Amino acid sequence: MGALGHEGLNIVGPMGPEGLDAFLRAVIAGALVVVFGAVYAACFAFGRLFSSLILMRVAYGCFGLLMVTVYVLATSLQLGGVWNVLMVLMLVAYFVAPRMIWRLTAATHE
Amino acid sequence: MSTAKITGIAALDGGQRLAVKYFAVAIVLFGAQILFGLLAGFQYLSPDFLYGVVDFSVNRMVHINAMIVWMLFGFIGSIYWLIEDESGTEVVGLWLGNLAFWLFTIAVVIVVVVYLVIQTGPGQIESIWFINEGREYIEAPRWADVGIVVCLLIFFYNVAATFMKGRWSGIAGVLVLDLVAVAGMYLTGMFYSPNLSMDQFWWWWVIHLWVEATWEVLVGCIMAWGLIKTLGARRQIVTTWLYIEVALMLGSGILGLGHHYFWIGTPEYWLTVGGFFSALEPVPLVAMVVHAVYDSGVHRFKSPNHPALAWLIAHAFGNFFGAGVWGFMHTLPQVNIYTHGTQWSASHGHFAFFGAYATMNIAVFYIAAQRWRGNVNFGGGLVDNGWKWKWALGLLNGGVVGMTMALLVSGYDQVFIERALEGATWSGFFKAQQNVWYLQGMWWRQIFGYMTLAGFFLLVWDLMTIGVRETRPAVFPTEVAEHAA
Repeated sequence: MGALGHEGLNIVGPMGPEGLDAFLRAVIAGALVVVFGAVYAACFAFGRLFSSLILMRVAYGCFGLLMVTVYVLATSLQLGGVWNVLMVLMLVAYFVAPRMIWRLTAATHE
Repeated sequence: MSTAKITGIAALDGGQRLAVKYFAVAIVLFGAQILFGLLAGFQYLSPDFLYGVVDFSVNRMVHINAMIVWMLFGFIGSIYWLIEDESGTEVVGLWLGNLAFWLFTIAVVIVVVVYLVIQTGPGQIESIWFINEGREYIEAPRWADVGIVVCLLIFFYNVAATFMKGRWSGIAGVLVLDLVAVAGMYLTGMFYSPNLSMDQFWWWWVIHLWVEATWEVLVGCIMAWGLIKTLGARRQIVTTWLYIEVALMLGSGILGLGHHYFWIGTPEYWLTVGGFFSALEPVPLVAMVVHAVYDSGVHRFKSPNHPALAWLIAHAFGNFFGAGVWGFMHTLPQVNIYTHGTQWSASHGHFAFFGAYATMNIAVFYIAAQRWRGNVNFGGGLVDNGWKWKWALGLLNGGVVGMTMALLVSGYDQVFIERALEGATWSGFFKAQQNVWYLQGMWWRQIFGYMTLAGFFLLVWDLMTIGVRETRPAVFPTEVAEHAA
């Protein structure tokens, strides 16, 4: 298919059924990245708020799903090189940001 | 039921009286946006409809321009609404503010009338100055552009001078700095280059940085003040978070501009820059979920203005899904190459603009309505059980979400047929728009558009009547805190 990869940013030719499947997977995965990121953040915050181990486990479960969706996104788009580094950075940011914001929130509300 | 309570202009300060004028025009323009949107939408289904009377290009232009201007009227009104309360003094140069309001309003009327009367003709320097600048979304002729900047500078002067005379606050500081950018950024859309790539480069500064960055900060300031007023949130906390959110937003948002530079002829490094910052743009939105959970869990806020609070919550969700989820879905260049310029973008645009901006304006309208009615209770136990505001909220949000989903179906059809199967050819462009899935998406968009219109009428009716028969005074959270202290 090739038309979706980082090396093939062109639309001069048709994509083909395989490429269409990959495209659909990629956009759904892209949407789910943000949704799972938010659910992870919410469960993490509620888990901390109510000191609930179950909610914290659900949060990490959601982060696991987030990692899966990022993997699907990267493979569907046939990402390589710097784009894979970006995917890793994105995962780190989604993991760290809620924890940092929790600390910041607790500190600013004292 | 006392007359003073219904026509409560006497209860308003000078800035708020001016704000009400802005709100009134904003609501009229909101109606115009929906009306012209419905006309343009119907022309997708029946291309001969109003052909030669009000062409699709004109309907679409008025639809989008009305949206931009009603948001702007709403924001300016919101700032005038809060400024005397925030600064502790009367608005400096209120007469100038009134003058700017009338200039702006008359200019909008003239621009729209000219759009409708002169729909076709040669593009010349004169037409750029007096009829239509011809640049998508900012079609207003050059004289009106100059007028907008003058009005924004007057607005900046009024706000800055009022805070200088009264007291400064964190919200005031962010607001005044942002207003410099609001006036200045618009200038980038006012010069012309025969090089299309350069022209688009600067055009996006208005569309992305002016609309998405400076407006976001403006909305952040209004939200901060709104949280203090509707929930009694502590000023110190709100101000600290305003700084943090502005830093996070600008940190990822400014270079997020790069996702608009993918296909306009700019150097290739914009693919990486745009992709990188676009991937990080939703992270602040996700992080804010943590703050919302913390505040709702720890403080257990109560509000005497349920409609305003409900619209603030709609703002949080609409911004998250419309800008965050719908944005990241198609901002990576590997995806965007297939989706840009299709109804996919329109799907994102409808959800994001409504979620991020319209909801905030409507929340402030309800804050203003409460004061107008003499600060009566807008909380639980309203005389009519608040059915009008609840249905307006449901119909407007349901209508916009419905349009978003329908446009997504049509957009996917375009990606599938026009871009993927046909390789972005001219014939593919037309084949996609004749496909049954595309047309069904457009029909559903139209139906949800009518639903949005019904919500709009209900909203107007509710704003005109809510609290009229209410006698219980509102107990504001800030008052509770003060009494408790």
